[in-house]
Amino acid sequence: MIRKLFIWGNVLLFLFFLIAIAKDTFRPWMPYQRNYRRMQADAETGDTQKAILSRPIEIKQVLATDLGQVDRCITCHQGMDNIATPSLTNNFTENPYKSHPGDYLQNHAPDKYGCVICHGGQGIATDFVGAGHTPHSEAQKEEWRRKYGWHPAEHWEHPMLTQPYIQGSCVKCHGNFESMPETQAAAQGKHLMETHGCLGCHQWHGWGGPISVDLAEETANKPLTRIDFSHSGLDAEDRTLLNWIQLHFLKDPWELNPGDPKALVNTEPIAPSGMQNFALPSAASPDAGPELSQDDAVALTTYILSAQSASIPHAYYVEGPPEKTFEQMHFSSRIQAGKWVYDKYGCAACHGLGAKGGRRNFNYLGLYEPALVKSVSNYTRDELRKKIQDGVAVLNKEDPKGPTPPLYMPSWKDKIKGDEMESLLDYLFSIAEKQEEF
Amino acid sequence: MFKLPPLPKPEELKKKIIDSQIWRSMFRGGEWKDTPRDRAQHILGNVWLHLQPSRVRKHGLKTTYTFGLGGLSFFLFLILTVTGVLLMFYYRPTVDLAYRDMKDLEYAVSMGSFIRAMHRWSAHAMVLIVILHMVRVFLTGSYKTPREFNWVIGVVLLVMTLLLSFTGYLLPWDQLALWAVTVGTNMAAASPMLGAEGPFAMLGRNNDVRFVLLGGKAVGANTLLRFYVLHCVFVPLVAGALMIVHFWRVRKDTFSGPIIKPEELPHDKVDTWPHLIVREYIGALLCMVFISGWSLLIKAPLEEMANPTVTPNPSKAPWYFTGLQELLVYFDPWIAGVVLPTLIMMGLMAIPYLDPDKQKGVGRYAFKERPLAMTYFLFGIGMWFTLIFIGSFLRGPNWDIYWPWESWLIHKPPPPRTWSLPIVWGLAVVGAYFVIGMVLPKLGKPDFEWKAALRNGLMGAIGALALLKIGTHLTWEQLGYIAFFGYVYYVFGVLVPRRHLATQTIGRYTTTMVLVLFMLGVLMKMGVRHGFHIKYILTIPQVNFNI
Repeated sequence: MIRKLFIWGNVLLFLFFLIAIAKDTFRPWMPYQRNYRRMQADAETGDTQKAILSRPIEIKQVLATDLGQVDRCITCHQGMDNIATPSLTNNFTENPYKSHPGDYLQNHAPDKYGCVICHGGQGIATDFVGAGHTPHSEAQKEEWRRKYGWHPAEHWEHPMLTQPYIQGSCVKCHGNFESMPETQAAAQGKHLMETHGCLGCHQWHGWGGPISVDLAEETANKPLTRIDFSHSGLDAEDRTLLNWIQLHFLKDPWELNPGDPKALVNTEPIAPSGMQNFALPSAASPDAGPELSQDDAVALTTYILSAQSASIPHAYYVEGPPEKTFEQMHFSSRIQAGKWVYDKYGCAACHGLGAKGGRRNFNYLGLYEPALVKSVSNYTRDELRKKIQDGVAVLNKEDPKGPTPPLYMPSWKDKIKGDEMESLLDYLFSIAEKQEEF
Repeated sequence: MFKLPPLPKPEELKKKIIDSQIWRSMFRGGEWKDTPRDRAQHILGNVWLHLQPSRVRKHGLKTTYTFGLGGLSFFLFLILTVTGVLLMFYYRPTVDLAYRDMKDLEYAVSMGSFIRAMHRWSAHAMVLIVILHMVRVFLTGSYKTPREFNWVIGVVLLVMTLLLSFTGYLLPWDQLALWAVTVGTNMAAASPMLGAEGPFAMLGRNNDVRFVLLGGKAVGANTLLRFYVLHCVFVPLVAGALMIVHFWRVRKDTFSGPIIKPEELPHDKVDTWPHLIVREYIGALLCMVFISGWSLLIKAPLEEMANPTVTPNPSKAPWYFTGLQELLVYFDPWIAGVVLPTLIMMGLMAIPYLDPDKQKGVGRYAFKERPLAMTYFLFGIGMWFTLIFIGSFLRGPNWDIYWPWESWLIHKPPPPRTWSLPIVWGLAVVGAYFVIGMVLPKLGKPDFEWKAALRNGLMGAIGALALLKIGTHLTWEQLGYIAFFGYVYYVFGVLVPRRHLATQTIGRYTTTMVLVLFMLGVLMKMGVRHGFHIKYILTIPQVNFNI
């Protein structure tokens, strides 16, 4: 017995150490580097070929000191390593061998920028799963699962970004993104954010309404721990910040974030999200499709993700054109100027696109915010101005025991002033439907 | 032509080497002849082996006697020292670098992932094995005279093991580390008098015990450095010094075993080399096989980088402290985190001195001879591990109960609203618990019929339930808790001491019964919380004193 234990124990221990050493010696990135070296050498002859073949197989990394990153992506992606591939171009078509598409690396030297600052993922990792690769389609996901045992990198909240979300990374530095052809999704996102009233409730770097969170400072940088995925219907592996943001445009936010209106879990009733269901048509064009299409949702998500914080030296920024103020704009009419003000301050958040339909407001008396086209003509110009300046506190609940409605009219007197206010009033009275005379 | 001299025969060569000046200067003794003298010399002449006697009793060799747990604890300590030193080559204890170094160990350093996994899993194993070693020593009565003091040192070594593990927990600087240490050190802030948040607090947040532990008010860069030095230098030195004493006393106090009667002499001793050494080797070997196999299969966990502004829900202490964390549901932190652990440690150290019979049940698992000691010790150990199990596996977000197969995404209703007894009632109840608790076992005869007593108790419990159901609005769930905890008290607070303790001298009876009442008191508090939704039995808010 003791003799058997002695022998088998020693044999097993020796075997385990061999396995440990083998695991360490044959790392998954090595074949890629070896293949690349061979593929590169095949095209050459003589001394060049010898030089290529004598290149050591080792972990290669970019120390992007300015950005505080260590990226080891080029350990496998040798086509983007400026030592293995000084020209940064090759004719290979397969990943991980092919060189970077486009001329991005000409303007963004990979030894200075690294990869992660644009692509996301875990640059320090040296295996496929740990790197945080993200498939761009279900088909690719299945293929990766088969080939690499793919799953999202554990405990890494910034997986790689696919198109078009990666455009958000460009926006981090490029203030001129709206005029760049490569970042049209992000530009579209910004445009949608400005026209659908997001900034009536949310803020963007501090600018916007006071009702909900700052999309740039908070939402884009929200840690996963703080997100309650209970009602998202997402599988565990899809529970990412990106999907969370995007779902807000594709699903009913009341479903995503139902609160606790009946006080089942909390002692106080809590209203569901104040956000609209953008999967429904807008009141302005009830016969059209959803107010925000799938592409719109992607564009908005892309733009919001551009606000993810990264420590980028100021010298890296590219100045964009300054935002135009009301005085700098040239309007063809007062009404058009008023429409611009209506959009700028996000009035559409509650009063709908073109002021045509009031949005829903949980447990608010009547359940909907007023549709301005209908209600404006009840006021004189002075009354309406005062109403906008003072705001409206929520006092009227549909169910007195229910939760406080999430939306309310804030006071605008410090924001909309002077000519902006007057043109807004012009605009509102211009679209008001005539009251019937009794 | 040049000719090589003929090669010497293997035996000649061996003799030549062994007889050479170099060999003889390094190793005492000449050629190995496998005589009793040689075998003894092998142990006595070797600095590493001479902590063992040259001959041991056969009794001590049986695997099922010691399970080699003490030796395994020490072997795990050795694994941890070696892997720990290797890890130190790559680890820098600063907030910016620590986590990155962990990732480097994972992805770039040769064997880094394997060695880190070994270190991590050995550490968990060591805590478990040290506890089991203590249980074994208790069950075989090996702590009895003349080994009382070595048991005390053993308890201190257990604390050192927990400290080693706890200080090491912070070093990876991930979320798991930061928040586990936050939970652990917040309990220190609840110490009576010495902690800023405890009862009778005298010190502020700037100079209380938590501040000393953390080097700040929250876990930060200072804490990391402090824990690094504690983990790598201070605690290992103290533990090492105590281990030397521990082993020395084992050797000097001799291995425990049944007393040898004069007629049994000469007793059944065998040579340590090879009989004991081979068993020790195999124990260590199997341990090493297990640890390295496990480390090959499962990587050491590493979560997101530590972020003091993002609190995971739930934040759990390291597993060996989740039992205490679970008690936070029922007690204020100063009780769960300070008073109870102190009482447990003091109680453990007191065991050999409270034990009335110095001879009974030494050297074997004698349940029948030491029913009282065995019952309470196993009861306490069972409670400890049950609480750890609940805290580690059954607690989810907001510290609600989640079965292991339940999704943590489900929202649970809040716990029922609690209330506290007014102070006069509180004093009365606590006083009555201890006074009646001391008296009850003394009433009635020690030689009662067990079966009848248990049955009567059950009948009594059911009767009380029926009365309560009729007379109050308590739910069946509450009644179930009341019946369960009441019955536990009846058995372990009345029947067992009545049978085994009531006949002791008054001094021993009082000391032991107080400890028993404290232990059962923990359960009783759980009982009144679940049964009557009572938050505090006695609360004096002026001095932050709540129980």
